[in-house]
Amino acid sequence: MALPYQCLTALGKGGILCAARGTSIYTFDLASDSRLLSTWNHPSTRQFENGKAQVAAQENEQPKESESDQPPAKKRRLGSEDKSKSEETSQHDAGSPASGHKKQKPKPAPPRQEIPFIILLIATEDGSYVIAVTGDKVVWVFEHSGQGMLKESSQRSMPKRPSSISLTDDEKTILCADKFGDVYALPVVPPPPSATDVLPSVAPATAPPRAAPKGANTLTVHSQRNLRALEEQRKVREQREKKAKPGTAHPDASSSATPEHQHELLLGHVSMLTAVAAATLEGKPYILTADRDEHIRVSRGIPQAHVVETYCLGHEAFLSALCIPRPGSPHLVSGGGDPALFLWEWHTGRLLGTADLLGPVQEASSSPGAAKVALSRLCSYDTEDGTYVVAICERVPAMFIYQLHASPTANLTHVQTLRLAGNPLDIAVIRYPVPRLIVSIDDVESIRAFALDNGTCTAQGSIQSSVPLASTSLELPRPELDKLLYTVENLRKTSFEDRAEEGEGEDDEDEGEGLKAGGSGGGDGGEEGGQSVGDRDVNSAPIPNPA
Amino acid sequence: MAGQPNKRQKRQDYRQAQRENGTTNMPRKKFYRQRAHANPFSDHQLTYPVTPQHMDWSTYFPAFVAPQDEDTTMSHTTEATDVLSKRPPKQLTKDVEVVDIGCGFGGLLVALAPAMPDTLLIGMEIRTQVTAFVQDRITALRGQNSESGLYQNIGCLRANTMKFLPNFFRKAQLTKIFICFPDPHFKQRKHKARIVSTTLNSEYAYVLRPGGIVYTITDVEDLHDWMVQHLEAHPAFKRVAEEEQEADPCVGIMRTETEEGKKVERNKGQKFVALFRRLEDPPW
Ligand SMILES: C[S@@+](CC[C@H](N)C(=O)[O-])C[C@H]1O[C@@H](n2cnc3c(N)ncnc32)[C@H](O)[C@@H]1O
Repeated sequence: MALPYQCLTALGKGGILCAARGTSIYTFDLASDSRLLSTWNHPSTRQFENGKAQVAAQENEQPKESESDQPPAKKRRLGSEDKSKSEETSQHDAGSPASGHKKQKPKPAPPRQEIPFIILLIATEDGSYVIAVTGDKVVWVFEHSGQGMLKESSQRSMPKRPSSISLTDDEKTILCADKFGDVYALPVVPPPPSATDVLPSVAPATAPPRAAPKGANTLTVHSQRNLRALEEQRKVREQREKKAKPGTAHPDASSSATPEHQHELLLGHVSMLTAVAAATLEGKPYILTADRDEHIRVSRGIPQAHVVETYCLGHEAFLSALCIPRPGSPHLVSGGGDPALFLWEWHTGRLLGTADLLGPVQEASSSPGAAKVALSRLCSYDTEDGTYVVAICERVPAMFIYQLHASPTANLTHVQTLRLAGNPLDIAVIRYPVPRLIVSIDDVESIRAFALDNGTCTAQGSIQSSVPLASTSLELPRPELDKLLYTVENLRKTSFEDRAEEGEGEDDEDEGEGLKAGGSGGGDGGEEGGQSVGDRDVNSAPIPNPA
Repeated sequence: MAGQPNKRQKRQDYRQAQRENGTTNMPRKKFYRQRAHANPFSDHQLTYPVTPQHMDWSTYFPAFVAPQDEDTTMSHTTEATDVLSKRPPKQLTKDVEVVDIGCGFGGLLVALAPAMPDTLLIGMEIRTQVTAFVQDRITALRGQNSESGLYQNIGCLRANTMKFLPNFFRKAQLTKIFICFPDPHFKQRKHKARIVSTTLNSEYAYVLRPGGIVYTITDVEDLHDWMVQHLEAHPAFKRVAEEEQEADPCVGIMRTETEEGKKVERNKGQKFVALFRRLEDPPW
């Protein structure tokens, strides 16, 4: 069966490629014969295979359910599957604007898990560490021997589903951005447990002061006060938990499951974050964050990440990718749902220009008349004659190569379109032994390489993909797999009248639960305050009754 | 909700009449009712400028529109870019410098207007009906005071300030931000919905100039403690000493003039005030 590679990253200077497929991570030796070097499987994989039978059975019983708009994750939880139906029904009601104002609140859902696909994958520049995020909100760090062997070094679970990760330029810290709009800093190598301050664990948005557990930043000055604030929070929570019946999963209880490892809240948007990037200028670090509401924020780096330097504003649709073309560059390329890529001088927020993407997309599309762009990845590379940025878009079987001219006036120009045999899922540049652009393709032979010479790319053929799949043979129906692989278009806002809000009640103290977004587009479903995804609001009709 | 066409119709008729001929009639609240809360996370049908340079303030402050003159060498047009190539909006003679976040029915704006006649103040409110009420109220006040020219310096627009403040204001554009009787969002899981949080405070710091003040008032003691803790914990803010706070004429107005404050007064509730000064950013 065709389970494609959804994430790629180069591993250091040895010509090793790291690729994720389903719940597994593989390394390949591209320097010689593309041979498979190692395999890592998510520990739940075996457990999942037990669960799979149950899920399949459930679907037979209720075939209509797969037509509902819930992300697959919601239906594919491990363990307690049986209670799900009624709960999902009530969630649909609560989320559907059509159903209007409901006094009755959805019952708290049991903790749920999705198939822990690898959703994000990066590596340090020298390849000594690989960082992966799985759909169960866990950040994994692997040590890499240099010969392709990955050794699990830490495993940290995050309060909310990470949506983008990046490394600070010193490569000591992971920047982890989540769907709730927050960015956390995690040390690549966690300090030994004894050194970690014992702090009460609280839901992150409620306890930003926890940000300063280690005495390493400006917030520390206030630690006394912060700790008092934390203490208050903790008391409130404990009381709440006492009130909640033991045994029933209470929504607040899930937030108390916040991990206790060191993760410092650096900054946050009130929006879903879609990309985070580290940048350096004149020796100073910065953090760039992009959100679903068209903002790119430029903040100072650690330890002054609370200072917003500027915004790069100009996008008119969601953002999905940021690319600093080379370390230390004053330039930033960004894109998402807009028909063009934007080129910025990021530290001033100045827009330098845009480069059409929709045109090339339309030319390359199998179905003519594509009207929208859903940019899924950007990456960049240097050759002797310049700097290039590569873009891929969801469900468009091509790679689009742009050249970045820094002077006399900076601009970005489309120079080449490389057609592919299928839809690309991820791209990576391998510099050794020869510079190559690597792309993973959905549905066909999975990974392809292109030689990068003097700014032109030429196809080199495919990398071996006959990898034993036994442990990852997650037999997902195609629509469900698509929901895991193609998530960008879902970021687009669709217009709908939130009429429920115009309810004419007096100033009642209702908290507007009826306005809550239906699904939050993935693992966090059902949690409070999830960022809404427009189309779900529109589409989430109650589940049809199969009777 | 859909089953109340009459009420909806009546409200529309009233509002239409108010717009057409009632420029000096005060709007009546009952035609502008709306549920008390709007979810700050969801995608409302909001309009907001792509950048602060795109914001057309002229309809909010018609008395402050700069004479439409000569060469358009305004600073922002020098950046010839695709997005800004659309016609730039009309310019005002001065920038908006004071914001009332979640202004509700506009009592604070109306009271501050004569107190700071040379400053432009904008109320930002997420609820459509409530925003419309304030706009109609301002129109009526301007009509009633056409001789003196009062109330030309206040305006109200619909916005979700938790998401879009930087779309409206440049860095350091503001001198004062008022946050009066914000929704308490008692539930722990809704704390990110609070209008004051450490991460959001960075955005307030961005739009406020050093020396500028955040004014907070609430009748909910827990929320007061929360706001104090979170603003003090933020390195860009320092609490203003009580003496200075009480000497600030805005504080008196804030205590007595907002609708919510009056409600608290009637119920003999307590009011907790705290002010915070925007500090200079440390060197970088
Ligand atoms: C309790 S009322 C207080 C109104 C007014 N400040 C007063 O003191 O009378 C809080 C107001 O904040 C508004 N609000 C809440 N969240 C908001 C947001 N994100 N952006 C703008 N307004 C918001 C609400 O609609 C509501 O009118």
